[in-house]
Amino acid sequence: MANLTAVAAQVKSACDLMHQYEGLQKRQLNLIHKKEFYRGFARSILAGDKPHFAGYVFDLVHFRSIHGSDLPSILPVSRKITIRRKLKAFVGHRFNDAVTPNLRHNLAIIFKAYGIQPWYSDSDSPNGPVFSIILDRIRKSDFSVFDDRETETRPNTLIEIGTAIGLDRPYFYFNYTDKRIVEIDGKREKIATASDLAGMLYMPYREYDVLLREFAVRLPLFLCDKRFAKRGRV
Amino acid sequence: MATKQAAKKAVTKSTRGSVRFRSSTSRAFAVRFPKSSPSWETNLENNLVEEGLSRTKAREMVRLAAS
Repeated sequence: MANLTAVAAQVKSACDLMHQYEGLQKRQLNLIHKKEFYRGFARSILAGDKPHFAGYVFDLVHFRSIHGSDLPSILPVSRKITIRRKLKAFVGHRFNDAVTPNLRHNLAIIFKAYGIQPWYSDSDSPNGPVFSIILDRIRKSDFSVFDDRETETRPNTLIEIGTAIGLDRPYFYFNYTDKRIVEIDGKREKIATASDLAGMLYMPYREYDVLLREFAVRLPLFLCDKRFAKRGRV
Repeated sequence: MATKQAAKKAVTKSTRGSVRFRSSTSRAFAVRFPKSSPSWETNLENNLVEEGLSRTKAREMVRLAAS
């Protein structure tokens, strides 16, 4: 069960992100400097009232942590945009028990809020070479999401990111920062991301709740920028 | 039956969905609100007051949050 202080801290973090990416009015900024606001707002979220702030509706959802445990978190969903059509997003990630169920569970929650259909390489039973199928899906998707966690020993996802870059398709790159440490010639070093892959929608993370809160704020802006959605109250 | 009709008449006249009942003895009005859940604005305002803000300040905050 989420506690009030934790939820209030999440509200503050979400408001900061909104200001960072969208810009808030001066009066709204004055408002969010008060701790009473965060706590009062958090009370409303915990009561299930779905309070609004700056065109976003806030709800409490249950994400999964990178280890699969329950991660109660707030989810701001923009009510200022209208999706023009049903969107499809290709999701590329390492297929194992640490990533597959947790990432898919979390993305399903956010995507559902905007009516986006996730598309995995194993969403159905495609017939043909796997990489051809992946190429085809990246090409046909409106955008892609890649998570590079657990890819140190099997870097297929990095190839998929390269494919999206090559095909000039938009993508979000969830970059896990606590990668494994390797020892080469007696020197211990943490595996780092290839800097060529760092782009505008590169999102470093250690845990899913922080990452997905930022994703929830950036996704509607991205959808408008790419003309998948138009601004205007729903 | 007459009471029912009066209440019905009052429903059509009321704003905010309230129903006004008039006492037959004192002629005073009593206002009843239907049992629906209050809006998120009302609940947020109450929660902000519970956190120590004045009613006026809380109301202003809710208005800004909704804008």
